Amino acid sequence: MTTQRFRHLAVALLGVTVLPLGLVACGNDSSDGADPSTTAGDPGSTASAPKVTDAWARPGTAGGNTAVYMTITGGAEATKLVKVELPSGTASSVELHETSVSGSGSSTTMKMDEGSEMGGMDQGSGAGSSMSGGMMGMKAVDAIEVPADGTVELKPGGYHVMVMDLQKDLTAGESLPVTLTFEPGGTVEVTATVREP
Amino acid sequence: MQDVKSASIPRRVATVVVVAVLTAGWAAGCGGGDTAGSSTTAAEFSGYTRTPAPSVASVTLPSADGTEVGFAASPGGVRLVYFGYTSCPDVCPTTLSDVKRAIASLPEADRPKVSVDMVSIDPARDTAEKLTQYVTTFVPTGVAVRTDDDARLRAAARAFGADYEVTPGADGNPEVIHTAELYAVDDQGRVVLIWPFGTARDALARDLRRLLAGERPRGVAGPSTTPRPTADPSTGQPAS
Ligand SMILES: [Cu+2]
Repeated sequence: MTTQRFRHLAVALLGVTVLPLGLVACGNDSSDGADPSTTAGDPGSTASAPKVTDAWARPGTAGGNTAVYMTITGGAEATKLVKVELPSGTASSVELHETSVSGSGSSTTMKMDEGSEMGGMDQGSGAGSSMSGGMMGMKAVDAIEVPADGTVELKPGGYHVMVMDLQKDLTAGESLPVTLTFEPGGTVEVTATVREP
Repeated sequence: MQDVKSASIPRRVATVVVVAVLTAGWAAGCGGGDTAGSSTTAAEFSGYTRTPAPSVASVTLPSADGTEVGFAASPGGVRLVYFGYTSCPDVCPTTLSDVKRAIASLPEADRPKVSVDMVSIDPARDTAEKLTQYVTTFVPTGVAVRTDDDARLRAAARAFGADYEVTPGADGNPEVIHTAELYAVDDQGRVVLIWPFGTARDALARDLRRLLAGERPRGVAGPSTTPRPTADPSTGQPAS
């Protein structure tokens, strides 16, 4: 079957190229946030302040937690996102968080022949891993680095703005004003759309 | 002169090969995240399976309304089981959203064949009411499953291959880590397919359709088997 043969070829080729690809294209560690679709050279953005696009918040209910995501494109100089604020009365607290694979023994190599389409999050939970490997968890981070002229994605399974103990429901279709503080760079105001992913 | 010309051709060929390799690698290896497209060949399931497929036929846990829940699917159906917690704002709702959309993408007649259970691994905070509200937000027929008996919960999780840890956090909020996988159980109570977090949404929907059609991954006995390369001997994993 030709598809099968193509697959073997692709797997064989991958075997040769997986190392550089893992670094360049796949972004094995979500903390790099390097999505191939948005890093493909954007020489136009040389403004000094970071640019924030595609801000969205997951719907949530009062008393629960939720998260805000966005894409941050750095300006001419590197900066750090250090603080995120929401309008008062939205939530008890807001933190910067990172989700990562935190189990032990998570270095098991994912076998490509398992036919997965998964990106970088799967090393620990892939077919060869032990039962306890590859648990996921999230922890607070002090800051999210934004490289000069680089892009950082806050997205499910990686960095997120953790919104804790909502004081009110967040319903799809609403707008949520978000104030981001960069060091250096000052504050940037954006509006996140509340929507399902 | 001749040297220059003859050297330039292989270089061009090399460029083409590099591009081809990059493209193949991209298609097969990347596409992570829930927004990624679907580019693998149709012959493969995107989820993986353990061999032999774990049986959870004898596992039961209490549902939020107090009745005991078994995990085998209805005849010909698929039961999707997830071990998570409601304070989870990132990983759990991503998977449950994908489940919701995967079910919605099925032909209407097939949707009732899929049932969804969310088992709380943080029952201290997840009250029955909270858990029910959470899971039914995504799937109206979803079943909230919880027990305060940690030994039972742990044994059930182990049967699926799931693990979790809830530890007191520095700021007073518990720190939770868990195996963020989605399990598909068939009507014999076998975990026939496992989707790690990060499985593309389309891939999940496609796998689900195939499971409902009676297809099974290699290594899981079923009405149809899909040929696959054998396992990498270096990992020591059995091939079937
Ligand atoms: Cu978080």
